[in-house]
Amino acid sequence: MSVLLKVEGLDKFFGGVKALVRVDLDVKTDEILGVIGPNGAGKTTLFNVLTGFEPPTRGSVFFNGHEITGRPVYRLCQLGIGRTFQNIRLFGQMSVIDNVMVGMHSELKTSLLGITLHLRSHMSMEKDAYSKAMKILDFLGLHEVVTELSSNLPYGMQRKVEIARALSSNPKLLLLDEPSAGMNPQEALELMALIGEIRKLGPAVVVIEHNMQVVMGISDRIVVLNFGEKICEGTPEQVQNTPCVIEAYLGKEEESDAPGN
Amino acid sequence: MQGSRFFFPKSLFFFIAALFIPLAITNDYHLRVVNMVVLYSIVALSINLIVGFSGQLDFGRSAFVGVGAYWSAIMMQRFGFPFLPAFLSAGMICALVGAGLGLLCRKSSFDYLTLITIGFNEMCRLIFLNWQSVTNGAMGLRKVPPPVIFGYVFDTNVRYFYLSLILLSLCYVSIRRITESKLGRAFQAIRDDPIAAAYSGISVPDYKVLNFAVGSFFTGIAGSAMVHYTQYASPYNYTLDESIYILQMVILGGLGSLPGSILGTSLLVIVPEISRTFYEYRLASVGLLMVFMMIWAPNGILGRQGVGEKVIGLARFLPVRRKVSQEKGKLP
Amino acid sequence: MFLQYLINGISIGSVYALIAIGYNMVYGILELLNFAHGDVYAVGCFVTLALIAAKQNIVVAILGGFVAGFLINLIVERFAYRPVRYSGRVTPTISAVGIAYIMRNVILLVWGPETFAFEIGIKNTHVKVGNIVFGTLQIYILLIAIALMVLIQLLLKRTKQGQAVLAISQSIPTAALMGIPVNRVIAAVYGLGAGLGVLGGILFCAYYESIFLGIGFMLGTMKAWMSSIVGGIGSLKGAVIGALILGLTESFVSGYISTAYRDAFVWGFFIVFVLFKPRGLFPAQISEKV
Repeated sequence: MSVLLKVEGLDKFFGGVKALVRVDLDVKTDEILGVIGPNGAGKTTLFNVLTGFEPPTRGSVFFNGHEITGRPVYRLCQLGIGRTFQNIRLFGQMSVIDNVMVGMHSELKTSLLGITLHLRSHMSMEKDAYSKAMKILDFLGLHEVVTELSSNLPYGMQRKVEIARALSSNPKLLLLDEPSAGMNPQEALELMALIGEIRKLGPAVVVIEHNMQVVMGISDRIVVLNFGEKICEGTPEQVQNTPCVIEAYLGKEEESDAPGN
Repeated sequence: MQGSRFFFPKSLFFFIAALFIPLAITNDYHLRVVNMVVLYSIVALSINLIVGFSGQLDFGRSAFVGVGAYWSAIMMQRFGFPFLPAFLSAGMICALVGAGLGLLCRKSSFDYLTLITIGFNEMCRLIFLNWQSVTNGAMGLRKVPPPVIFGYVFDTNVRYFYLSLILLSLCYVSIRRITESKLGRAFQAIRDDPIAAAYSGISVPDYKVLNFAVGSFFTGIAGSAMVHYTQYASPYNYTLDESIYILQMVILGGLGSLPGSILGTSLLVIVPEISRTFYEYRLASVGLLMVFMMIWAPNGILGRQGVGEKVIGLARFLPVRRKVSQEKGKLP
Repeated sequence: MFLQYLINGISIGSVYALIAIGYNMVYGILELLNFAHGDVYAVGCFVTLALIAAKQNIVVAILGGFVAGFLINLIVERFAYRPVRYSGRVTPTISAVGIAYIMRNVILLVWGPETFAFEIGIKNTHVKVGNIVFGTLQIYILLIAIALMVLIQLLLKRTKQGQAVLAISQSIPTAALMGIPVNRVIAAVYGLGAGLGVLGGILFCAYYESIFLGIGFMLGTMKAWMSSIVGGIGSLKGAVIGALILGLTESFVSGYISTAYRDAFVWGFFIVFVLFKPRGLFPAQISEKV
């Protein structure tokens, strides 16, 4: 497996606040990397900086061998990086299928002429995009709510729509920010299975999670952040037993069975 | 697109029905009102594209109507251009100006955009008013020539009705197709969540500019069509109050609903003609309408979850088939 | 001539500043375009006019106008703004536009579209220093504007109520959780904003010795808005400075370039300014979280 995403020496300071400090990490193609850490550890900031939403104070990000540090956010899709958000960001006034089709934006080549005159080239392209979107929605079990307004859906389904949208651009790397937030245990288990299925489709996945069951269950490797620094990295078993990780979550204590939230 | 096959019969039905209007309405003044409804509807559709679909609250649309009007009138009157080139060039000029304005505003937040469009409206109005040599200042342009297409002169209400109807239909179909395409989805994505839109590959500032340009094209040709009908262009017609009034037509019909724009326009053009009270207390009437609507019916009449849908929901008690969620997720 | 323009610019800028302070209080907190700011306080100014015409004491008249503006905005806030406070950005804006129109119609019905003479008993006596003419009224206005700005800054920073206002401008839910009566504070701010606007409007009308129904929108809403944006969103100091800059720009453009196109040029400069400094000169720091 080769390295897909490489983060080198990433610093992000907001004035005096050190959100990220000398963070290095690799993501290999085909792997699922979990990112955990107490609240405020800098996990979402990490996503924000490596996707170009915030410029880093220092450091670089490489994707597929090319440097992408600070590239504008809208380029990500073309590069092959998709993302979901901690607080769901759907297009609330659009239907589910339209939400997903927006994800294909960079792949569809249209012209004003083609659109207004309904030229054959335009129509067949739209049709293909439509079926592709339907396939993804099917895969995620959302085929019944395809025409529903996305803001009308229950929370769990909205999460899935967000994932569907991110998948529609055929990403090589999928960044999921707390996908199981707000889910009950049953839904969380389904999510785990889903992420496993997604991996089979192709993309490498980086998951920020608080739900230990989920993240330990699906990750090949885990990175632990605390106060902006990477304090530990390894397989789930290794990380679970590392004292500094336990300390980060629970404070200085003797021993405990597992890091808790 | 799947939607189209269902779309044609409905709108085609209205189109064909509309063809008979001049037969039903013989009073010349009434027909004139109808013509204004048709022409204003085109402006309303363009506003819907910009404000409704892309969420850019533009308070200066009337300026573009004016630009299109003055340009077209001057082209024909002073430079002797035939109608079609004047008409189309008016649209292109407005598209360019719209793109320019869009470029200025593309990184601006919501508030700035609104303020800048107000400023633009004011600037245009002042230019129309003061640039005596070109626009004839406060007197305005009179005796603007009527359209002549392939020798056929459109100088009666009936003839103009058919011209406007065809124009409206073409604009309606074009705008509808735009909203159902990748472009329309991008616009709506920008409206709903610009950050998520960027993450989906949309270069938000560029698309905002495109939205302004395309919308302004339609506004411009509407302005041109209007001025050759009224045969008069005056700087007092292209004011901020006008902009807000036309915007209100779109809001009444429902932002995001194209048929709604036509409905809203009809209501706000016809009602002042019918109701003396409405006309006399114009400001308060429109003001009250706006406040009440925002509190109780922000989605307008035909907008999603608007008044129309609520009424239809009540009709569930009648043996009438309830309108199911729009076909394949397309807007009404 | 230059100095004369300068003086005029500062004078008119001070009036704008007074009105901008009132406007910015609401704008700074809720970041909502209070489209109706001008038209509401215009009603207050007309109330003052009516009280003067009814031979009331000038202080009573001004107070009456202040109270009228305050009360109107309280009512408007309760019934037209509060219900839509969290309904996005388009809806509250349109609601405010509606209120603006209603206010304008009220003035139209009660007083009419004409311009009326307006005098508050402070004669704008002119003092000549060299080639320059000062109006005593101009000086009063500048002093009052500065005094009010300082007063409000103090109130905001040093009093409990002021702290409540600042808290709300940071985060409404958090402020509510802290036990701050959000609705009452916001209502009070709207009311105060209108009251200040009335004061500003009265001084404006005294300066020009006339009043008509259009003073609200163009003056209050537009100029105040522009001042706030130039000065920096959410910053009272910025609003005052922005207002002064606006006044100066108007004065110089009018003097050196053209009076007819004055507003067109001012808008032009403003638009260009916004391009280069989109957050204004002294913006309060607010960024969007993902």
